[in-house]
Amino acid sequence: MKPPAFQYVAPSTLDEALAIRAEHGFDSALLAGGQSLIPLLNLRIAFPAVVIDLGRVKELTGIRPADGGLAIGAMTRQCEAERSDMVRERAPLVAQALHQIGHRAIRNRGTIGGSLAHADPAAELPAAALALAAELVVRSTRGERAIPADDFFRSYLTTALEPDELLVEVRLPAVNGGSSFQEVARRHGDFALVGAAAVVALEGRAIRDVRLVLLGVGPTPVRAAGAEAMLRNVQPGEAAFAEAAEAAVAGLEPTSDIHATADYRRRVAGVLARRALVEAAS
Amino acid sequence: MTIPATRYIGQSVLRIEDTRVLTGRGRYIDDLRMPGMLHAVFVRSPMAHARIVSIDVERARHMPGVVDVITDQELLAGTAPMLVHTEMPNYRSPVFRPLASDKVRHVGDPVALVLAESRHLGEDARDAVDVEYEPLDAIVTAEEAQDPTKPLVFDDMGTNISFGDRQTYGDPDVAFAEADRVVGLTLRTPRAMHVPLDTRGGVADYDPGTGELIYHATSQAPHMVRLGLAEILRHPADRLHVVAPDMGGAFGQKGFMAREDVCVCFAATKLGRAVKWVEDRVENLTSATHGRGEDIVPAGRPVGVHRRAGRNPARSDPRLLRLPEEAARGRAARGLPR
Amino acid sequence: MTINVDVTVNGTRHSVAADPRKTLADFLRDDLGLTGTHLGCEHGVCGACTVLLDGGSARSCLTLVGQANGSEVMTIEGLSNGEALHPLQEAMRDSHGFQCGFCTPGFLMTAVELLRSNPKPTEAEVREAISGNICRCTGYQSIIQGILLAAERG
Repeated sequence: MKPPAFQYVAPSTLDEALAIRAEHGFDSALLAGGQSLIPLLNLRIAFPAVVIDLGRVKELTGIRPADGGLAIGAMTRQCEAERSDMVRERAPLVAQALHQIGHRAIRNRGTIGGSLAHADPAAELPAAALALAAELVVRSTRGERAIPADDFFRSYLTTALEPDELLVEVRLPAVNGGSSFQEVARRHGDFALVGAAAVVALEGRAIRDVRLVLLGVGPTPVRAAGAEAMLRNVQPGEAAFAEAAEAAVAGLEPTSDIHATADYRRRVAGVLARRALVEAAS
Repeated sequence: MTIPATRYIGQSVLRIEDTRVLTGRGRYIDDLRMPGMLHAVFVRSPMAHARIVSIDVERARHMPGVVDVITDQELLAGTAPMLVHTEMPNYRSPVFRPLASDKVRHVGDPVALVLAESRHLGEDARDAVDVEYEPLDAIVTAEEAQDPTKPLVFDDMGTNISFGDRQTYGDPDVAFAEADRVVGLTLRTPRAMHVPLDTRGGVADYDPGTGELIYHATSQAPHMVRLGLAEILRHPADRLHVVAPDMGGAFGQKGFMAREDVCVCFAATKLGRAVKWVEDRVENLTSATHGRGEDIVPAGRPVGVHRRAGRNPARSDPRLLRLPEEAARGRAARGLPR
Repeated sequence: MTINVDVTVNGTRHSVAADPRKTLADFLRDDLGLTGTHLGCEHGVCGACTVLLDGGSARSCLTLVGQANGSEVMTIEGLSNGEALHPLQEAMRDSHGFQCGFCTPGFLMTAVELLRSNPKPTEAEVREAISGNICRCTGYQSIIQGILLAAERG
């Protein structure tokens, strides 16, 4: 299981990286942490002509406060985000999600941006980004744009990134409310079979705002908009959350595979959705 | 010199291999390197059952670092037929070829062997070998193997059953007749994977001057491998040595000579150079031996010659539950070494 | 095509040309002859290839050699001090924490990272920390005991 031949480049600035990416587009592969890309190379599923190693582009790393929330550079290692006080305080859902990712060795190398751009529907960070209404900041030689998470995850391993674009940063708005990340996997650290992420903001005794996302139930993380609408301005409670969770999974059509059947995914998603809502509201 | 009995008996005796293993100085098969060593990469079938229409190795032969590409055509003259030797009296063995020639019979069936300067270059060339297949019906269960309307896996055998037996214990007819209740169960134990962390492999070191072949093999049965290789390769047994280095687990998977062992040793003697083969994890999970699956099926089902119908005589006392053994064993036509 | 790789492995600096499509694992094993780091799956699930890269555990089969340029790597060969075993190695031996030993270097490097950040882990913490390493022989209990023993001995 050895990688096919490719040209390897390791730019030291973002501009350099963008220029190379503009030249090769989707014929090139962006190497962030390598924890998703390198298995694809080893298994000879991916055959990029060029591998662009972003590991030396310092501009892409770092966690900084932004508008009450925070911004995380795409090449920030997952372990750094996991240890960050700022992440824990300002985006606790991300901290919770990170803890579910793989194992320490994976998180030491894997990056925030790499996971988001890879867009595996069973991955934790895309679901967390969607639940937090994140903005994905992407750049190319043509300029910069910020893509709302709702528009970023298009399909299985497919995002809104154009062939010449790089994800440079994820911006997480200030969160007023509680959050919860629930996941079921065969073993802790495995890819999620199914999961749920919830953010619940209370005002007085009513739910002012809520975002509920399910993962592992479709080709992208899925926002349960119907369930969210049911809960706005409603008093939090077991019955309300149970009803919303049921609505969240009602229209779902997950796929069956060797890991879990569609029925299992749907049922467990419902349970996790309810638990996530309960915990986020508590 | 006499060793006092108490030196070992009753003592906690430390293993002698621990230090080298703990310090990373174990020598597992992939750790062996020889001067001028070539890397063997097998081209394997993606189909479960298919006729081989053609094998085109020309593109692969000319790729960087490729020294040779071997198919079964070449092995035919240089090797003896491979049969399963067993104590079982009625065992019908297919004739195995080291590389598939007319048909492929399982996903991962080796079809050609690339010899290259590195594993990387060998895999590049492997991907450039063009094999044209004509798919056939796959026979994957014991039931299918017993179905006379299904195609034969080994045409020359005339059957897909390699072994059958019939045993009777006690008087089943009476037991069933007297039972208060008769319950039928179907029990299926699926195939299992051994998954040693250290995959199969070998390094064949051939000295063209002396004709000495030393095969370093991660094997649980080096003596059996040696005798097998000597016979199949028609190589003088006194000039064929099999050495087992440190082994990272086997769990039964490395207990026999593999077809790949024959191919690798053949390549080494042909090219006069050391040849290393270490399978990767994908190969190990598809092509290496599986632990057999077993189906236990009650009466009332279509019964073939080798399946004894059994019903479970259940009396009021559930402790008397007995299952007359009717195991349609998943061995069917695969036999060993697969 | 080769790239220049400047990497310090077990305290020794190497400045060499390497095939960029080689993983760090293959580079260590083939180019530097450090075969103590083992390949069990080559897609990051078994942990046998675990090394310390700039102080953190990493699957060397999921690291391209170019990514280690300018970095420090510690492999199993760097754990002992000459002939003197590291306390983790001694404890693993004393608890019979391995049989075939193929997974052992990976477990040891993972345990080094654990004990550096958490010198007195609970059993649950040890289990969590090693959950990314697979062993096919032992059933894990003796490995856990070995790590706890090393922690106990300080």
